Amino acid sequence: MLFNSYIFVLLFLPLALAGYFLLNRLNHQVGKAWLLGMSLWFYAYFNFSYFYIIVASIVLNYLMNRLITRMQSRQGRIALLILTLCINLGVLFYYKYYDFFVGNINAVFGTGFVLRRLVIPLGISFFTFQQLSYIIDSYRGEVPAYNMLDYALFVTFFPQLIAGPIVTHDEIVPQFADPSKKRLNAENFTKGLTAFAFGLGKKVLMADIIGQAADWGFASVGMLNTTEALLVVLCYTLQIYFDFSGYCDMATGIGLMFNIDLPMNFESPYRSFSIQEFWKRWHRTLTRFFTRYLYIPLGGNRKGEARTYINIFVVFLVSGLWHGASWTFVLWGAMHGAASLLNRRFEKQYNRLHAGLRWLLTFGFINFAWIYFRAESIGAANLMVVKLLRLDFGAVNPAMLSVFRLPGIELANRLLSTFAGVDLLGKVPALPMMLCLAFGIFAILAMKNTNERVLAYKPSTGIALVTAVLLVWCLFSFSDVSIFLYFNF
Amino acid sequence: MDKYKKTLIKIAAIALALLVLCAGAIAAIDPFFHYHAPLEGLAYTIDSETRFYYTPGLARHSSYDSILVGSSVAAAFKPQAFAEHMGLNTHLATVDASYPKNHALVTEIALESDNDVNTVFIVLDLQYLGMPADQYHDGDIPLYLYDDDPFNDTQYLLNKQVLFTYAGGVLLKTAQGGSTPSVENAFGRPWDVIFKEVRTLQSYEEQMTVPGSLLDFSGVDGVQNARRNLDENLAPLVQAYPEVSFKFIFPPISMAYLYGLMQKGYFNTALEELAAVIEGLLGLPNAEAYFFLGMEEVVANLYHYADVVHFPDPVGERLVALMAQGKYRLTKENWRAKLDDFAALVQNFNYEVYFGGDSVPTKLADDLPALVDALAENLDRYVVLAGSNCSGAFEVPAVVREQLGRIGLMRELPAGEAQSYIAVLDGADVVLEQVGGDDVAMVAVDGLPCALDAAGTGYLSIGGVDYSIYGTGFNLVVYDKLQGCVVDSVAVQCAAMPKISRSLFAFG
Repeated sequence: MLFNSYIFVLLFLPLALAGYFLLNRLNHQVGKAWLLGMSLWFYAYFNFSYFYIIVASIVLNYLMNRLITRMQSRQGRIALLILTLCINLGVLFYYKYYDFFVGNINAVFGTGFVLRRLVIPLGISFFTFQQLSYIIDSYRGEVPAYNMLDYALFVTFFPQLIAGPIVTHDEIVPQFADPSKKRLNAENFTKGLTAFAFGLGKKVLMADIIGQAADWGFASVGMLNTTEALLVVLCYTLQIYFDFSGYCDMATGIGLMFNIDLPMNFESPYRSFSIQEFWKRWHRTLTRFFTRYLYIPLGGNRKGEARTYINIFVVFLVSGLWHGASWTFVLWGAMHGAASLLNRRFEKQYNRLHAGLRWLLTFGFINFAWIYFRAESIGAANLMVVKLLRLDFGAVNPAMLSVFRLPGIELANRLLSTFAGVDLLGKVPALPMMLCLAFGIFAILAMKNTNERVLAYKPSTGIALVTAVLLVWCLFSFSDVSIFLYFNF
Repeated sequence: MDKYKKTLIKIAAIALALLVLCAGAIAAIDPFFHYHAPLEGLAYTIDSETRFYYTPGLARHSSYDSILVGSSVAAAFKPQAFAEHMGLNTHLATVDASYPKNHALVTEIALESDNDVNTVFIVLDLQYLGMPADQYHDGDIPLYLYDDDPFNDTQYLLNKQVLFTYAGGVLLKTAQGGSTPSVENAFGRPWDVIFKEVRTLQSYEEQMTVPGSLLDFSGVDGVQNARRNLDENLAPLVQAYPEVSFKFIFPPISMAYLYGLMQKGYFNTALEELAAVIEGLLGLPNAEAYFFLGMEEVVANLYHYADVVHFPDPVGERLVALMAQGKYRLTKENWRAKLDDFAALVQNFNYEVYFGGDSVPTKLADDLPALVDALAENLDRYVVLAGSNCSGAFEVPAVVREQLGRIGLMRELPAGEAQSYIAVLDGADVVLEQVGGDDVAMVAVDGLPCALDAAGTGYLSIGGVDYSIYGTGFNLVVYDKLQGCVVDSVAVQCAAMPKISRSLFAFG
């Protein structure tokens, strides 16, 4: 189930909230069981067959944790830890990386192993990493004895289940046990609803619209001029931020409605002045996971400068691969790794540069790297770069402009044209796109992010109005009318 | 009450008010007629590109005694034809690229409406007979407008595009003094249709090569799908309404498409699909089947088509008249023979008529001298219609006069500027040659009537079919008496170089 769907907003979320708080009055365990059941419904709604995978994963990891905590010998605990890690990573590998691996084997050795073309279970990277952190902490003796219900709810709690943030057990389980969080709290609920509305707005009103322009551009790289290529790259940069951070804002908001604080995952990352700063602001819980469970175990910065650089680079390569099973993601990770190393190595010199120039370099690099993240292949990404460097500036294709001509804008223009004789879109066809992108850039640089908004929340009629309008506007944007053009002529 | 509770209540109240206001506006105006018929006083738009949004609502809320369902091919059937030949008030409920499951769904909506429907016409396109029985359409359809589930109406009532573009559009159109179009006009052909062989052959080339086209059968189990379409979509529908007469129409798809089926190695499968469905339908007491695929005079003449499948309204009207007379009807006794005849027609047809070859040499000519060579070699075999298409006066280039003079045309034409030129050459005889003057209608081609426009438009028709491609310059239509059909239609440029073109609106 998607947050941006009728069933979620109109049925699932109200039902989950009402059931949870009502049943909490009877018995908190029943309330939690209700929330677990709703979370599993939320997950199974995508594809019921993957319900079994997540349930099996939860049961297995829970039982392995029990075994690890009861195991007396250190060797035995290490063996169980390795076994559990192997199983988790094996399942992840099977679903997410098998075809990538076999495809590369076939390409290198000319073999003909059959690709499985499996549909990746949603959120498998997230819930696998979440449980890995739990198992490793369990091995370290840092996990209290949770019961099965608490553990399952920690993994499946639906706001963070399929796209993060990647939470740790010690952030979630204690909150569900806290008696002060069992009742509906108007302050949390209001803040949560506002965060949800802003997140939904980011996703539905920005990412999904700008994303159509990016999709068009990346599907037609060969025919782009430099103007279009620049705009397409910028569109994707905005799309991925508004999409991912919007989703996390919604997760944060829903969590707050349940009185559960989820960790901040985005802190206005495009305001960063360096790549190192960017990774402290972008997908923070992933960075935290890799720092705790990969960078530090590899030796972190404790084994000399060269090893530190290697460790950082390895983390970025793995991070690239975590984002997707393709060389484009690996290259994207490598680019960020290299930029981080350079940033670290020449930090003093870099920091002497003017702040504006540092921001421009950082934002420019981020845009550039996203090309490789988004493109279908490294070749397609290279072609996009060629298009950018060719300096063949020209008019923007009407197909791209049409993406931004939203129904409300069209109707307003028709009204203007009919009653005032002014066809604004006819005169300036790019106006909706320019306004949308300008607003997007303004929003990422100058507006409060949702976490700042929640922290500084002051209840008022104004914020109520903005929240309500955003909610309704988004709700009206979930569905559209598709035109069927008969192309057989 | 604390400030947060107050804010929460305000959010809820404002959101609810906005929801009711916007959704209420959509429900009241109802631009897709989901809840009611078009309101008097409002000017609705019925947009053919989104006709699958309007179809269920119009089927529910229009008045009629019979309905016709089908894909875009069925758009050639008009209510006037059913009224004139069968005395029926027929509602058109066609949906572009729709499959049998969609036909069944729309028919059921019509039969469950308040109308007393006695006849259902279902147009079964050969190209969709073998499509999956559980799919409605070559694309998504808004099922929430087709079913009676009030919960999924959210997709209609809470839809920004419906609100602004369609409901808002109705108000704007009303304010502009517009009116609601008739279904027939709105659901007419949504494209700028030109029925010409060149278009059909161009479409054939595209269909043969483009993935996902009408001639791409990769991954399709056509016979199994056709059986399932019969068992799951068509037969249950017919059986559920025994008092209703179901007339299944197998429309005349062009020979170019049928040739494509053979080229793709799919023709025998298509025959099996037809056999399975026809046999099943004829076993139902209230079902009739009319088979026009073997109607050679229509399917073999690619000037009847705008692409490989779509034929024009006059052909549709002719088919309705034939059905009214009981012609082309399949029975349990004759259907196998009719199918065999159809197979033989397709398998034995001389496709050089379309693509050129030893038996149709004119088609291989790519300039005027070569075309005249081909004609002159066996002139008795051909009838040539010629007509100029130039705005205002034009001068006949000497090279054109010289070439056409080789077959007897333009020999007596005065030098200098001419307003228009028409001619008919039957073998070596110049039957008609006229500069300026009046339009000509005559019986000149194998006993067929022909008509030539003397106003300089280039209109040249034989047997009521317009064969001209309207190139700027001279248009020539070549009728082959040996083949019994038009084999070529070209345009000759007005300039000095005697180029010819078979493209539409050549040199324009």
